[in-house]
Amino acid sequence: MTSLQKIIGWIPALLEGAKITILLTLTSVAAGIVIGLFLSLGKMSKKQILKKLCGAYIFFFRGTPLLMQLYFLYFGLPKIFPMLTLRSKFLAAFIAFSLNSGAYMAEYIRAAIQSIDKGQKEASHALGFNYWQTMGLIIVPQSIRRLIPSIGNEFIMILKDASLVSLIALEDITKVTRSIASSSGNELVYIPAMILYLIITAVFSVVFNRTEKKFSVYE
Amino acid sequence: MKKIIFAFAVLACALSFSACNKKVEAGEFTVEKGKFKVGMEIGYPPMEYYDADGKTPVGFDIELGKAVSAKLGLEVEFVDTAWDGIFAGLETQKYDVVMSAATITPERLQSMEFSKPYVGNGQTIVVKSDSGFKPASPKDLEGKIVAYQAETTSDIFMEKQAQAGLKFTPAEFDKVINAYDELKLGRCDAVVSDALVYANYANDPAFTSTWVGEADEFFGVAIRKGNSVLLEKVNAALDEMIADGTMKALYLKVFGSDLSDTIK
Repeated sequence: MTSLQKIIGWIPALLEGAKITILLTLTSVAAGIVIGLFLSLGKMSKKQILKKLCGAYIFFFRGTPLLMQLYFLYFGLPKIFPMLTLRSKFLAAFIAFSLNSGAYMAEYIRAAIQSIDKGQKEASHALGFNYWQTMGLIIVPQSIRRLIPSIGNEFIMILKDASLVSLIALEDITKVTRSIASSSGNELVYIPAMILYLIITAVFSVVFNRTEKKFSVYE
Repeated sequence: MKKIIFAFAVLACALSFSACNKKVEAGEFTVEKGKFKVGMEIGYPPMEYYDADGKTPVGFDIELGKAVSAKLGLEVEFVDTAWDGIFAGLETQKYDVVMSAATITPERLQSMEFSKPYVGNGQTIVVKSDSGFKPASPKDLEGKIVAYQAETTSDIFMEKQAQAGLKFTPAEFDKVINAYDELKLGRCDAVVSDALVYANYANDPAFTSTWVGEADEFFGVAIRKGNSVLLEKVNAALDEMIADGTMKALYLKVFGSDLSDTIK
């Protein structure tokens, strides 16, 4: 069998892995944006307790390795609190990745919001808008375009960090690749696997670039 | 005068050359002179794992490494490495031997040397004692979630079962400890592991072994291809240890039973 035939033979298994990788990345980044939005608003809040709490959350999740967070959530926590035993590996990975991504996203969102000219906020206050109206109708929509490159960046980071899930026996692209490499003894499998990662990255880069252009009409 | 200097120069060259040669000869069978470097994936109890302090390597392969190096008159050094790529490290001379519960297989013998077997091993099925699930053979794993360590003989064993038509959900972990964790936390129905590895969990009342396969695989010391000097020395050391009872003492110390019969 030629190398090319071998590579073609591995593709279905790699695509199965890609499903897990893509699904985990998309859901985690989406949840991360929601968590990050509230965390960033909390961190910019005038209420000291809220500010400190959100700051501590961001400090913890950015300051410890994602690998360790995932491992602790899946193996450590259930040993201390049996009721926190997560039966689904995907759910465990999703929770760990979203919580982690939320911390990074919070800082991106805060930077984007704070980059909006102060006059916008003052003007909306002058027009009688309250805090949620100012944020929801004036500030956040304007900061979205500035946020898109950061989200794209976070997306690519999570896409590659998703390879950590092999630790909890979830079959993503990396896990499938390693299994094929060691059972067939053929390291050639890394080539289609890396190409697959590049294709996913390329597709999402195009999507993010288009979205950015679409939103830049407001600038 | 020039001739004398030339003669001295030639002599010096010859001396340094022979000195150099001698050094290579003395250190020929190990990567570093006077040292016996042992590559292993430390995290596979009871063969090799870290003691409660988290930094002292203990286990059967550690005891064996110490005993063999003592017979060879060398200082032992353990090199912790990932199982993936452990044999590549042997080839690139990161260590002299691999003692890491490495099974002697025809495929591996093509690219490396193996000493005579130092212990025999089979597969075992382990379940949670309170689960009521009592598989009497691998066939009873039909439809169950089975955890095991990836890229090990347990993995190969389950792959063979799958080829023979057994349908089960695999959960492949990097560390065997995680497979047992998974069982303890009730997220899988059974663990398939080396019978020797199970020896380490046998004292835990949470686990019960319901099936043990025949010893069909044998652990050996993996040595770089072409290093026949070290191969001979290691084999001689193992023979000596079997004859003088050192090996039996090691079996009793680590596994709690005499496994001498497994390599007869």
